[in-house]
Amino acid sequence: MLKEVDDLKLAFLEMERNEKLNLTSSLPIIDELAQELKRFRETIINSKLSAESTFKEYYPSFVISVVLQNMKNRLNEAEKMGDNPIIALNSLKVITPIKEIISNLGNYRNSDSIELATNLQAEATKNNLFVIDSNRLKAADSVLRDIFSEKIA
Amino acid sequence: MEAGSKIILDTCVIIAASINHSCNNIPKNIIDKFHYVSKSLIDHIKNNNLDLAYVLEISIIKARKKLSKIITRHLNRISLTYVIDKETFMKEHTFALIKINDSLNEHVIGVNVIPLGEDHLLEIKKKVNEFYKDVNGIILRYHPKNQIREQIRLAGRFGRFIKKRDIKNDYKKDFKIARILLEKFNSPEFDDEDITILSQARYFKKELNEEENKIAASENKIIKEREVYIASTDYHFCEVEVEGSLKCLVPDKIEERFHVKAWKPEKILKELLRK
Repeated sequence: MLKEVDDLKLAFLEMERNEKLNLTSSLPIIDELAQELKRFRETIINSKLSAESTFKEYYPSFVISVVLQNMKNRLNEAEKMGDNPIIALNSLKVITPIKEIISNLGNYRNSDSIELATNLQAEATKNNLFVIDSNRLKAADSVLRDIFSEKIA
Repeated sequence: MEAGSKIILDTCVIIAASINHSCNNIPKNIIDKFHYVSKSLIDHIKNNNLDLAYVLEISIIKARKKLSKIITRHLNRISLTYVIDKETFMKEHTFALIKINDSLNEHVIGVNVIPLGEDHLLEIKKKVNEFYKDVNGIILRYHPKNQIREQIRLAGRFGRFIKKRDIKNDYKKDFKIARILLEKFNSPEFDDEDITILSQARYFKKELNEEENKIAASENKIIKEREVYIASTDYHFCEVEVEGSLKCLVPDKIEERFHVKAWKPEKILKELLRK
């Protein structure tokens, strides 16, 4: 997953530099990352890890999924909303914390993972990349859909 | 409350204001016992655009750490009590922590955030550290053993007739408060961040005083004193919820030494509503 994060960073750097939206270079990477994170969550749910250890992995990967979904939504609407290069600049702000969390995933004893995810949520909120809105998250993976569609008013 | 007064929100207040979450598939809700009073104060300040609330960036960092610990603790407790499938469990707690963090982020938007960096507070922090050592000393005097020893000493040669049990009963309530405060002061949760909050409050108060003096000197008029408050529910700042003569020891000493009012959120809210 780290390679995908690096590729995504390059895609956003290029968009920012050229001030031109490039969905073909960014959206497939986001989808791939989201899929891998979903698979990761399924694996740890089915593992024999304790609830606490599972949560330390599940929660950070979920927070990244929410951020990626927000990125995707904004990229899809960027042309219409004139959101580039702002979307690229905003996304670049969260790429480093995302990479830090991903490099920690799988290290079940890492107690910092929840804290890193919490900081990512705060940074993403500041950059308008953490909108918890059931309508905007319709296209998210089933886990996202299950949680958000039921409860957000 | 005079215009220009300042309120510093302690970490416990922003945490309490953020924790109120009902779970769909888990019987136990997550709510802080000071949620309503803390949230009411923050909401009142924000809804009325009162530009007087401050929060230290270090408090926000500490609050985020604490929130994740609270949720993890809740998770552990629930997992021992109820049989719930792992996936539901993860979803519920992930959702809870996301929502609670979202609420924290929302609460600090619109509040003045004091950035990290404490060079301007170094001198005051030394004084605050000394202050807590002094208060610790006062509380130690109320330790049961020391009280009994002191009573016997004061009674001189009649000391041997004093019944220890009677002394204990006389000071029972204060013993309890002393024990609570000593525990609080020696807990790892009472840390440099708390010292920084009181130091920042003192710094604000000094700034306000200097400003007031300047205006008074130049315009030759008397200005109403502006106050600095710390909104907190923690006993290292505000009154203890147990009756006794030591109940208000800490906030009284804080006011005496630093001219800062360490009040509970509901008391500050009442003051705001009164004005």
